[in-house]
Amino acid sequence: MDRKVILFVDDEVKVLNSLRRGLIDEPYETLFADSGKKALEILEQKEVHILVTDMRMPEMSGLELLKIVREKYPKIVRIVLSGYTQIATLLTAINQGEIYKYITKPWQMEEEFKPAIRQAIEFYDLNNKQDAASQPAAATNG
Amino acid sequence: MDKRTITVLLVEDDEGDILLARRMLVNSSQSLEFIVETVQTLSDTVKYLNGDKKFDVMLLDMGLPDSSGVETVQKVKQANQTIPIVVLTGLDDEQTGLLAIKNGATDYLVKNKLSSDILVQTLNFAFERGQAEKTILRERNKAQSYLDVAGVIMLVLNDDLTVHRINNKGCEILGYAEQDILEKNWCDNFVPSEYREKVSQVLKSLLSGEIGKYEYHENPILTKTGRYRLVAWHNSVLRDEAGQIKSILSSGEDITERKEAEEVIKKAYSELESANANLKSMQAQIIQNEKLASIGQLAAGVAHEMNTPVGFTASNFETLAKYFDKFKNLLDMYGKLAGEMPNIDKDGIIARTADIRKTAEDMKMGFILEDIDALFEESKEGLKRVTTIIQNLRDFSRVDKIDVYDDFDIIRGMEATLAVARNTIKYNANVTLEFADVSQVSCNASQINQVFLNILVNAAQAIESQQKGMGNIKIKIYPSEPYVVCEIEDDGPGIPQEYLNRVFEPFFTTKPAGKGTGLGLAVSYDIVVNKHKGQLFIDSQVGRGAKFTIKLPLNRKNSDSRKEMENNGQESHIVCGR
Repeated sequence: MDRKVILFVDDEVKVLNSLRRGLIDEPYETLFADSGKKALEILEQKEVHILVTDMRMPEMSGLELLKIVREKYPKIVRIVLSGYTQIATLLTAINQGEIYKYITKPWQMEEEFKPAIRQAIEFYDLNNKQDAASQPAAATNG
Repeated sequence: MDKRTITVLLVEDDEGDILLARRMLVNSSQSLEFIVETVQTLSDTVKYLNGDKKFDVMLLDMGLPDSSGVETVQKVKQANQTIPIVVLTGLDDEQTGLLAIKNGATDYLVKNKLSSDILVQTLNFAFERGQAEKTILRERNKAQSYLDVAGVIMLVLNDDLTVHRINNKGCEILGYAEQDILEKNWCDNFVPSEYREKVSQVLKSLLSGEIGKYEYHENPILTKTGRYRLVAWHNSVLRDEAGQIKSILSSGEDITERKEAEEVIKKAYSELESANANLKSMQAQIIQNEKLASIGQLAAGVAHEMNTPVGFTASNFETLAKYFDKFKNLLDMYGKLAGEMPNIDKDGIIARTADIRKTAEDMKMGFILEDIDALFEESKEGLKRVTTIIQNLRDFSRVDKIDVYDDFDIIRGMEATLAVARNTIKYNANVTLEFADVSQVSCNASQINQVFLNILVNAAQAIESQQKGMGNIKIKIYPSEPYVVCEIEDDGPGIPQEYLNRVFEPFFTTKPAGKGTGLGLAVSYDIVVNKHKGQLFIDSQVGRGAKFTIKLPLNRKNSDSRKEMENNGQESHIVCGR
C-alpha cells in the first residue's frame, strides 16, 4: 500500500513543528500549511488522504477550508484539532464540515492523536475499498 | 321695690295647720309675697308636681293619709328632683327631720316651734337654694351636653376608680346605657382583664399626682358585646378646694380603626421594603450573573489562548521523551562497542559502527539533532506564553482585591484586558493604542477592567457582525483634569439612533439569543457612573462605528459627575433609569 499523506493546517507554526517532530516515526508522509490558502495550494499539487485543521484562523477559517475540501476533495478524511470546546463550535464543525474526528487542544500524542490518525487511515481505506468494489476497473492493493 | 313672689305648695292634711301656715305667710314680709296652694294627699301632690303649675318651694307634712315618714320625701323626690322641700315634723322629732334631709329634703321645721319669721326665713332660704340648684343643674346639663357633643369619650372617675360621669360617646362605644356605667368600677367592668392591672396602676399614679408621666396612654376597653376597642387617653385630674386630687378626667379617642389602618400601612410598607430588598438582591444577582457570563466568555477565549501553547509544549515534551529513548539506545550501542573493542578486529569494528549509524539513521537522528534546539526554544516560548496569560488574567481580575478601591494605572488595566481579550479581538480587528501619561486613578481595578472588556468585546463583535473582514479598534487614554479619559472607538456598523437611548438599559441586546445577556453595558454604566462617580457615553452614527468614552475622576470622593453631565449637552450620553 502507498504511504498515506497527511496535511496539517494551523496558523501557529509551533503547533505544526510539534506535530512534525512528534510524528517522525509514523509510517506516513506529513505536510504542513500555516493557512487555509497554503493548504489549498498543496492540495492542488499533491494527493492528500487525511486533513487535520485548526478551526479559528485568520483570513480563511478552518470551517471554510473544510467546506471547500469536502466539495473539491470528498475522499479526504477530515479531522479538526482545536482549542474550542463549546458545543456551538463543535456542532458547526461536525454538521457543516462533516468531519471524522474532533480532537481538542492540548492533545495527547501517543494515546490520542496517533491512534486517531491511524483510525482515519483505516477509515479512508475502508471507504476506498468500497469504491474499488463498485468500480472493478480500479486497481486495488488490499 | 318689687316684691319677690314665692309660690308654695303646702302638703298638709290638717285643716288647722293649713290655716295656721297661711296666716303666718300672708303679709308677713315687706319684700316677700307668698302664694300658697294646698294639697292633702301624696297622690294629689304627685299630680300637682307633674302638672303645669310650677312651684318654688314645697312645705311638706310627712304624715299624710296615703304616705308617712321619710317615704313621703322619697316619693316626692321621685316625682320631682328639683323642687326644694321643707319638711314639717312633729314635736321635737329631730331624728325624723335629719333623716328627711338625708333623703333629699332641704330643711325641716318643728310644727309647734313654728313662728312666722322662722317659716318665712326658711322658705325664702329654701327658695334661694332651689334657684341655685336650678342654676347648677342647668350648668351641669350644659356641661353634659358639651361632653355629649364631643366626638371622644369623656370620662370622670372618682378616686375609688368608679365612674362618676361619662358622655354619650363613651356610652355608645361601650354599648351600655349611662346608668349601667355610672358608679361601676371602671377597671373591673370596662377594661379587659389582661390590661386591668396596668390600667389601674396608671390611674392610681394619676391620682397620686404623677400626671406628666401618664398624661397620655393607650389601652383597649371592653364593650358590652365583648369586643375590644383601642382607646388613646388624655388624662388630667380634678382637685377639690383644698387642692386634693379627687377625680380623674379622661378624654379617650377610639383609635381602633386608625391603629388597624396604621397596621395595614405598616404591613404594606414592610412588604414594599421587602419587595425592594428582593429587587436589590435580584439586581445584585443579575450583575453577578453578568460578571459570570463575561468571565465564562473570557474563560473560553483564554482557554483557547492557552490551549495552543500548552498543546504544542505538551506534545514536544512527549516527543522529547521518545528522543531521549533513542539517545539512550544509541549510547547503549556505543557503550557495548567500546566494551567489546579489545576482542574485535578492525573489520568487525567498521561493521558494528556502520550498524550503529544505520540505526541512527532509522531513528532520524539527523533531524532530531537539527531540531532539538528548536524543540526546547519553542517549548520555552509556549510556557512563557502561558505564564504571561496567567499573569494577565491575574492583573485583569485582581481576584485578591474585590470591592477594594485602590490607586490603579488604568493603562496597565487596559493592557491586561487586551491580553485576555486578544483571542476574541485578533481575528476581527487591528488594535491601535494611543496612551498618554496619566496619573493613577482611585478605582476598583477588577471592575474597571470588566468595563473595558465589555466595550472591547462589543466592538469586536460589532465588527465581526458586518462580515467585512478585519476592522479597527482605536484606544486612547489621556488626562483631562479632573478626569482620566479612555476612548474606545471602532469602525463597526454603529448604533442606530433609536437604540442609542437604550444600550445602557438592562437586558437590552441586539445580539442573537445566547450571545449576550444584555447586561454588559448596564453593568458597565453602574460601575462607571454609580460606583466610580465617573461618566460613560456613546457617540455613534450608523455606518461610522461607535465611540465609547469613559471618564474616571482622579479623585472619586470629591466628584459629582451628574452635575457636570447635566451641562454636557452635546454629548449623547444616556442615563439609565436607576
